[in-house]
Amino acid sequence: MCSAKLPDLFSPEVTAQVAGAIASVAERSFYADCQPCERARFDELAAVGAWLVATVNFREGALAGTLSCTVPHDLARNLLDAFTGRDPRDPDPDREALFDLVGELSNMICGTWLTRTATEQAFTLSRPVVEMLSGRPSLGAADATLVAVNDLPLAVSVSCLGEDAAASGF
Amino acid sequence: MRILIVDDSAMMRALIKRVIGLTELHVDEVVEAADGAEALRILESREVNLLLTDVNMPGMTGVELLREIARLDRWPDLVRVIISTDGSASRRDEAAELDVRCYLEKPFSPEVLRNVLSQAAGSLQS
Repeated sequence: MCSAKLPDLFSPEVTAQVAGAIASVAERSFYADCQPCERARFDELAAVGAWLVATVNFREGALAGTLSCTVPHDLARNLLDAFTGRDPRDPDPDREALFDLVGELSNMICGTWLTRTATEQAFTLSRPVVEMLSGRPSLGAADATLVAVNDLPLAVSVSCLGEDAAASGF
Repeated sequence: MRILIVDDSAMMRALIKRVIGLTELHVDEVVEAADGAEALRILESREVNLLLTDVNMPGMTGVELLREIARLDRWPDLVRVIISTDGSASRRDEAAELDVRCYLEKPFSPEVLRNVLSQAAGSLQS
């Protein structure tokens, strides 16, 4: 059972909170423009090459869950350039740098969302696990917050693992 | 001034190091560690004036590192700064009990980090 603190992770309120966290991270750390994105527009934008997904587990009191952040390779590279001051004309960054960037992005989105959503309790985040997807991401119909960052798609999904998971660690 | 950056993300360490380079602070050395245990080994082997640490890290976390520093009581003049995604009130209270001078929440803009560094450097001189 999930804590009463987050009764419905798919509610418009939670989606708005997640979108707000994404916008804060995008604007403050990457100087990027972040806009809400309807599903149809997202699907249009999503017709881009390779994708990466970063998953971070969180635990906050009796609540435990997972946040996944799915971004196209092009957006990851765009954000990496903004974050590090790298010249976009330089040769492609290595895989490790992109994975680290997407992991840190998911970490900051999750932390910002929890700080704003949760109570005054401290929380714990796992080290993000980052993977390269072989094709387009399969995002559920209603479980993802969709935005466009610098006109490129970004999706964040949150799922609750319940109190048992929180009690036993991740 | 000798600065130790503790964060499991090489990207974040690089960003912090870059911002330090943009300040007008007189910095002799910037050293990096990927977790609390590595940071502790560095503290034991060389002089450090300013510690910038993340909280959530694999192995020894930032809070565990700060507790160990407090328990050992060997670096009373070390200025401690937390840089973390966790901005909760209880984490901030915990930090205050561990003699943390500044608490910087991620995401931050380089300008905010620069202000925190100047503030921390100011407390080194006073």
